[in-house]
Amino acid sequence: MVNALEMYDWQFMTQILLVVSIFTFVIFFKRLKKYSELLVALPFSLSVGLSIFLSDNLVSYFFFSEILFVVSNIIYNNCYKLYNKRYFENVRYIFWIIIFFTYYNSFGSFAFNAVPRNTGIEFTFVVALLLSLIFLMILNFLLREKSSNSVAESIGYEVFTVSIFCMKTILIISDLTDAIPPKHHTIIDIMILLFIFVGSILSLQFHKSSNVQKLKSIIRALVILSLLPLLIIGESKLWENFSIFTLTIIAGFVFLELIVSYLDKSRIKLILVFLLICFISGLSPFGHIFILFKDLVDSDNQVILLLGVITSLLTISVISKRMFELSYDLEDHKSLK
Amino acid sequence: MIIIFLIFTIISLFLRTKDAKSIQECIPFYIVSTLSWISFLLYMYLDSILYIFTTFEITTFLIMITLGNNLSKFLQLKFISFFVLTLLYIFEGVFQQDILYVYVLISTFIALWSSFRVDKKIYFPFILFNIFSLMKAREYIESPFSVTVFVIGAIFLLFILLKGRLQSLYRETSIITFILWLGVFTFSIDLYFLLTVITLLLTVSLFKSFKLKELNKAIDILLYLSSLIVLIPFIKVSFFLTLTWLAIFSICLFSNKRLRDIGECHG
Repeated sequence: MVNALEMYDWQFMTQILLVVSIFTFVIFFKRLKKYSELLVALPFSLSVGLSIFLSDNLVSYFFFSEILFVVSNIIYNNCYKLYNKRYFENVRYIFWIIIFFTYYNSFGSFAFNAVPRNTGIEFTFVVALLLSLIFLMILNFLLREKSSNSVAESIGYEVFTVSIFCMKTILIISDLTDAIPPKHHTIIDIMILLFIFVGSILSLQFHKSSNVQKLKSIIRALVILSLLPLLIIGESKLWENFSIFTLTIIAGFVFLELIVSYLDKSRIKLILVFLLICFISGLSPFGHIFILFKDLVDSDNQVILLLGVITSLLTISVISKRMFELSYDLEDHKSLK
Repeated sequence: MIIIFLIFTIISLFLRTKDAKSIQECIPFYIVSTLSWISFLLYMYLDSILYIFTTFEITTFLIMITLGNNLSKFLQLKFISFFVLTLLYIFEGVFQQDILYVYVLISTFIALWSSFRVDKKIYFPFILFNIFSLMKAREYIESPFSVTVFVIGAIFLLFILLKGRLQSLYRETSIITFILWLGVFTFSIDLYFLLTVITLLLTVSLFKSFKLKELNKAIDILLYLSSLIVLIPFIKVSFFLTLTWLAIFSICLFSNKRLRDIGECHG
C-alpha cells in the first residue's frame, strides 16, 4: 500500500485540486459564495501544508510556513487573532532570525540532512529554538479565547497548518539530536520536560469547560506534546517511516473533528471518540508510545522520558473524560424518551 | 469454587424473577448472567494469559457500554489502565508483576463502583464475573508491592471509620469490600478459608444489590467475619495493625448494635 501511495506526485495532485476548485468557485461565484472556506481555504492549506512537509531546506520551510500562517488569517471567514497578545504573534520572527544565523553557522548551508561542521553552542541553539517554535505554535491552541465554530476552519488551520508544521519540525530535530554533545543534550531534555509540564498545567484548567471546540484543540496540543519525549531517545523505529505515521495522526485528527461535530450524542459516538483518542495518543499497537516502549534502549535519560510521557497522558485522560461526558449526556437521553 | 458461583447465580436469578412484575423486566439481568457464565467457561478452557485478558476486556466493555451508567469515568479509567499495560514493554522483567497488579487494582475499582442504568440489580452478576476474574488472575500475578498497598488501604479504611465516629460498617461497605478483595488477592489463604471468604463477600454484595431489608443488618457481621479470615495471614505482616483493625471493627459492631437496640425500643 505504501508503494502505491508513493507512486503519485501528491504535491502536484493537491496543486491541481486547488486550481480546479478555485476555477469552479470563480465560475459559479454566486451560487457557491457560502462555500468559500470549503472550496478555496481547505485545498490551499492542504497543498501548502504538503509543501511544508516535503520541503528540503530551511529557506523553503520558512517560506511556506509563513505564507500559510499569514494567509490563513485572511482566507478564513472569522478573522480572529491567533493570540490575544501581540507579543506571541511577533516573537517567532526573532526566533527565525536567530535560527537562520545559527543554522548557517553550524552547517554552512541551509539544506536539511547535512553533517554539521561545528557542534558548539550554535548547534544547540538551533535545536532549542526549533523546539520553542513548536511550543509557541501549540500555545495558540491553549491560550486563544475565541474559538471558531466552523469545521473547515478548524481542520484547515489547526490540523493542516499547525499540526503538519509541528510534525515537520519534530522530524528535523530528530535528525539533529544525535549529533548534539551529551552535556547540551541534558539541557534539551529538561527543556522538553518543562514544556510538557507548562502545557499540562495550562490545559488542566479547562477540565470543566463545556466548549467542545476548545477541548478538541487541547487534545491536539497534548498529543503533539506527547510526541516530544520521542526526541529524548533519538534512535527509534518510528523515524524510518515517519511520513506514514504523520499521515495516520493527521487522519486521526480529521476523523475526530468530523465525528465530534457531525454525530449526534449517542453511545456509538462515545465509543468512536474513545477509540480515536486511544489511537491518536499512541496506545494502539500502531501508536508512537507503543513503538517507543517496545524498542527502548537503556539510557540515563529514561526517567525524564517516563515523566514526560506519564504527565502528558494523564492530562489527556483528564481532558478526555470531559469529552466523553459531552459526547454522551444522560439527561438529554432521558428527555428524549 | 464453580459450585459456589453456580449456587449464587441460581439464587440471584430466583430473587430477580420473584421481584419482577413481568418477565421482560428481567431480560437484561439474564443476558448479563449468561455473558458472565460464558466467560467463566472460557476462563476454564483458555490457557494463555493473553486470551484470558482479552475475554475479560471484551465482557467488561460489552456489559458496561450497553447497560452502564457514568460511562465517562469508566472510559477514563480504562484509558489509564491501557497506558499502564503499555508500560509493560519498558520494564519487561523487573516490574512486570507490579504493573499487572496496578491493572488489577484499577479493574477492581471499576467493578465495585460501577452502577447500571436500566436495572440496578445487574450489579450482582457483574460483581460475580469480576470476583471470578480476580480468582483467575490470582494464579498468575504475585507482586511484593501488593502487601504495601494493602497496609496503606487498611490504614486509610481505619482512618475513615474513626472519622465517621465508629458508627456503622454498613455505610462504608464498598470501601471495606474493596480492601477485603485486595486482601484475598494478595495473601495465600487455605483453600477452605478462601471458599468461605468468597461466599461471605458474595453474600454481602447479594444483600447490597437486592436490598433485602431484613437482612441488611447482617452485612456488618458478614464483613466482620470475612475480615477475620483475611487477617489471619496479615498477622505476619503487622501484628499491631491487625489488633487495631479488630478493635475498631468490634467497637463499630458493638456501638452499632446498641444504637439499633435503642432505636427499636423507641420505635
